[in-house]
Amino acid sequence: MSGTRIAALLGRLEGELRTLRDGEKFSNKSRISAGNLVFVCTARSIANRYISVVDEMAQRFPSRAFFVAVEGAPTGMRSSADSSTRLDLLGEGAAVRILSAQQLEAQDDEGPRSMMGLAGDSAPPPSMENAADAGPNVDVDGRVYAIETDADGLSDRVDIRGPRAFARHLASAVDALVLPELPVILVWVGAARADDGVFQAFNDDTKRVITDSAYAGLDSLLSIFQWTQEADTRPRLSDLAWVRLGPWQELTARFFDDDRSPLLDVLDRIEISHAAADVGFQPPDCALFTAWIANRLGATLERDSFGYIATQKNGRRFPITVTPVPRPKGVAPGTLASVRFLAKNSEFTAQIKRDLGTGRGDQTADADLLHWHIADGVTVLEQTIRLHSNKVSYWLDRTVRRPDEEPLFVAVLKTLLAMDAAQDRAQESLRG
Amino acid sequence: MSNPLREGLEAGRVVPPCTVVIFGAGGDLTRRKLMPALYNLAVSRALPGGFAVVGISRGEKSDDAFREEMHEAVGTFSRKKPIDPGIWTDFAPGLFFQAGAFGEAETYAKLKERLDTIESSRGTKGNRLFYLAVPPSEVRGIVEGLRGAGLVEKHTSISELPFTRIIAEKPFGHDRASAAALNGLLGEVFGERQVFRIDHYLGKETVQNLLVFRFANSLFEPLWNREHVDHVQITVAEDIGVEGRGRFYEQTGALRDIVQNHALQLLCLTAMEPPISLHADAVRDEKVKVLRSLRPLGPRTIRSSVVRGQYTGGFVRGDEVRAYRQEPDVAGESSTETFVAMRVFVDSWRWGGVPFYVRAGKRLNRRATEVAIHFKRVPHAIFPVPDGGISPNVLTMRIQPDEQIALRFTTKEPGQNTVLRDVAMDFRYGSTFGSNTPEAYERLLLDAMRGDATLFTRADEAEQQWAFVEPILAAWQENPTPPPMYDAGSWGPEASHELLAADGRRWRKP
Repeated sequence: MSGTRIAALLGRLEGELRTLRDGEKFSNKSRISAGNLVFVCTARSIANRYISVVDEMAQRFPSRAFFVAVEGAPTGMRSSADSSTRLDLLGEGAAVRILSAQQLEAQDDEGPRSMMGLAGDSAPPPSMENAADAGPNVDVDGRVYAIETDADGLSDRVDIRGPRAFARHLASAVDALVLPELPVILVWVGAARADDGVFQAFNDDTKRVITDSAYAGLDSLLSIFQWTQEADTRPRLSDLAWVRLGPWQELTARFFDDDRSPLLDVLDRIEISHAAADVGFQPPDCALFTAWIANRLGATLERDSFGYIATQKNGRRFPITVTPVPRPKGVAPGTLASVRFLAKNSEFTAQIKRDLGTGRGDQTADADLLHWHIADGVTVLEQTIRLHSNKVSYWLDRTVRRPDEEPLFVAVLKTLLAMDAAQDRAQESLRG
Repeated sequence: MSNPLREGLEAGRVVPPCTVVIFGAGGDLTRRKLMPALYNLAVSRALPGGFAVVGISRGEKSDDAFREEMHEAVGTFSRKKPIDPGIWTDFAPGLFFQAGAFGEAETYAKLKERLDTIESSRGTKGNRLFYLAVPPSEVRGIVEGLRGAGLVEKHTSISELPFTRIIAEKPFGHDRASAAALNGLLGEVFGERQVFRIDHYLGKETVQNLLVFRFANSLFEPLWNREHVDHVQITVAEDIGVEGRGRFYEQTGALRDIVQNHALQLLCLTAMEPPISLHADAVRDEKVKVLRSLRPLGPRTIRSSVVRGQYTGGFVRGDEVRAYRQEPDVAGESSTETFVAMRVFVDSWRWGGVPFYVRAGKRLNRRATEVAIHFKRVPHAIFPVPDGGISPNVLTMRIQPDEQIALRFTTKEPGQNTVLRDVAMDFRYGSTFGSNTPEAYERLLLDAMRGDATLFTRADEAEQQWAFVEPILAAWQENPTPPPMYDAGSWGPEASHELLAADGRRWRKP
């Protein structure tokens, strides 16, 4: 690929962005931007579905969003049936409409609330798949779209597509187009590996990288975490699976508020269940939840056939069982289904249970009604709690608005790494 | 022993289980604000596991009828619509109703019995938050009733459990003496840390952001003083009239209704020194210092520095509206002010000589609440510009209706000639953070449950506010001439514009 072609593409994209920002069509829109969001997707099967997530996110969060489709899978990347099932659930009920330039003109009078328009002269194909089909001579291509935000502002989306071999070129093109003075947040779509050249190319100047270990797997998360910890200049790491655990953590902590925290010293057992995943797939939600509990109790973890064994500082050991339950249609594999704490010889029980299969079809792909229950032999307390919509864009928005680095998340990942390291040492010594 | 699972979580502060007892459960405040706020807290998972609400008002009705009424109210006034059946099914069984007259001892004996039962079934652990959503005339009866029935235990520390707290709605009295009497009554029964005087303006995000803006940005605070600030304008403008509250407004007027509390709170947050921490007393100490620094207004100063007005008929947002005196329950010759403007000085090292212009009124041109800092002009004009030179910079913090921060500055118009033009950098909260921010009552109810009084008015603060406005009330009482009239839909009486014109300034048009 010649530098001239990249330069020409950049020139065109810059022109289109100027048209959007300075043109009259959107002159009544606020131009405030809160950041640059760079979505990088390395699998075409995911790309088409993820575009609606990018658009919803750009609607919620005024920004310049880049959607970079890098074609050609790296070697040795894990791809399970589970991840594709999970990815099938992406973008359910997308709230944005894609409009061509002509349609935009026609709708000017209506003033649509949520629309995307092409800045260039010709109507583009709306999907990356179609763009990729444009012809074998097109190595790198790009388009610009306008996205009205929920609050009467204007985000823009820049689509860039190209082969894996030109990942550095693509990253450089993104670099040239980011809004200055604003943070660059990389959202890695799908599985990632820290030693993958594409991943590193896009992490040259990012402040933060966001993964979703529910799709990418725990190994991917831990490998990227280790890479981010190697130097202060590396981006900070956030993970959607971790953020999605937030309500579960809050409700679990509520079990032990007031005068009930001493019960944490006399735990008998913790039972965790999840919507059934593929055999061999370790649901990251369960692992992160378990590691969080262990970390907060100052306990060490070891894996067992039924899940984990936690050993508290006082020497007390208790099992944490992880079991699958049937997965109704529409629920992602590995989704946390329930957690149950038993303490004081089972005199105290506390449970959060998700109503699998009762999600609101119009707003969420997953069930989101939780039942919180506590019984201590004297009082029974119950609460029903609605989680927010399980759309990826909602959780991305929540994640972006949280601090770049969460010490608790770092500590929990270190707990998982310590468990793996201890396990490796034990196996080594057995072999030795 | 603290709960180790709480550490590091996003929602760090724990809300203890409690029962909220609302006196005046049949009123507008409960329907429009309190119950929707509590429901919204349930939706956002902010309510504790053990939680109940007991509504009290006259007239018998069953718990189910009360739940049905509240369901309708939440459905109409909640910012989160439609009602989520899953949440409501869980929330509604925690709502109870108790009929009773506030002045009768029997009401409180029954309430005590009811609370004992509810607390055991709902796991609220004896923690009680009494909300007085009633007219001031009812407060004494309720407080004495609570004391008589043994429903209150006086605490000196906010951490004592089980807690008993009371939220009092404004107005806190109608003058300094009545405010002191009210504080005295509350002080006999409750410790000061148990009393939460609510001024819902303080629960608004932008009002809270005044502190963040000033003390988390190094750019503005060095300019925030007499060296750089020419004057400050505080506007609390409403385009609505008295909206059926003529009887209330006849006894209140704009000075008591808005200036004594909301406007002075905005002035305090604008003028206060940095607090040593965000602890409730640290913040309130600084606000009280500002109130004590306000230059007292004597009879002569009141004549020259305070303007009042009353609206006549006119046009607002395209509709023809009637005069104040034609509103229901308003006297035909009423001299109640619906508009106040004043020039105020904060006699402190920081603000010596800087006028703060405050105005508040009804049926004005538009609804707008804002604080505008007008900076001094550049000392020397090197650019040839007509009309008195370069416009000074203005920093505006808009509180409602659209929360925003705007900075006006001067730039060069592109071209061969040096033509200067004012432009505004405009930051709108909604554009960046979305518009679905929590209502003020959600934040304030949650803070009261947690025992955080930072955003509530302290006893001495309330009295100090009255101390400042009381001479004005006295002067008007001594000279009960009708206030100057202004057309509905205008920006107040001519005298208000003259007040600033006398100083060579003019009001902003928000």
